[in-house]
Amino acid sequence: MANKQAVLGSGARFSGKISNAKSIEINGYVEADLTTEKVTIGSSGKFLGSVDSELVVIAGEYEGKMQADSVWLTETSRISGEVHYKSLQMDRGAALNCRVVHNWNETDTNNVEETQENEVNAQEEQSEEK
Amino acid sequence: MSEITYISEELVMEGNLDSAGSSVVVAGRFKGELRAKDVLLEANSIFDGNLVADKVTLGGLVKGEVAANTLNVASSAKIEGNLKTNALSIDLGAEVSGSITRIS
Repeated sequence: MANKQAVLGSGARFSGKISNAKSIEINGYVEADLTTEKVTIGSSGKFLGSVDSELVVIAGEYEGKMQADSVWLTETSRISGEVHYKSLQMDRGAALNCRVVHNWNETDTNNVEETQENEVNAQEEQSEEK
Repeated sequence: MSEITYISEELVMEGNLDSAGSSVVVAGRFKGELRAKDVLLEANSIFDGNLVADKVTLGGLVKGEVAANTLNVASSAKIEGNLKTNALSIDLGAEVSGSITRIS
């Protein structure tokens, strides 16, 4: 039972505090700050708030400040806010409207010279306007 | 049908969970307001707050108010609070203290 993964179902809405999570999958609507090892935001999921996690996979919507080692943004993902990452994978179609910051070393977080900052507007958003 | 919400053993959630159309299973801790179609509070779960659902099975530590059309209290349950239900079963061994009333 201990290995069973936490899931927030697609019809569910949660707002509040989530703590002590190891691995969580979000398919519903969540407003919270989350510290965990692995978080998946499913294509029907929407997450508002900060995320601090080793691995983040997003197929749904995210708004907030994310701090993660590995980030995978799938083709259906929509991101706004801020993404701090060590390694990032983005599929064609991912919609980003956010600040993206690379940290290869945690101590560099506040060192402007050693961070790359990019304003990214994904192609999808532009193509939608056409 | 939307899938279930599962609050795993190690997880602590505090706040408001509304899952009106689907089921919620709590194996960890939940504090606050919980609304769902079916709710199962597993044997080692801890619940503190208000629970409203159509069908509820209580198996863990429960503090607060539970309102359910159909309510089953499992033998592992320890309850301190108010139960509101129209159809109730309590398994032998369950510890219940508080009031039990009908919803009407």
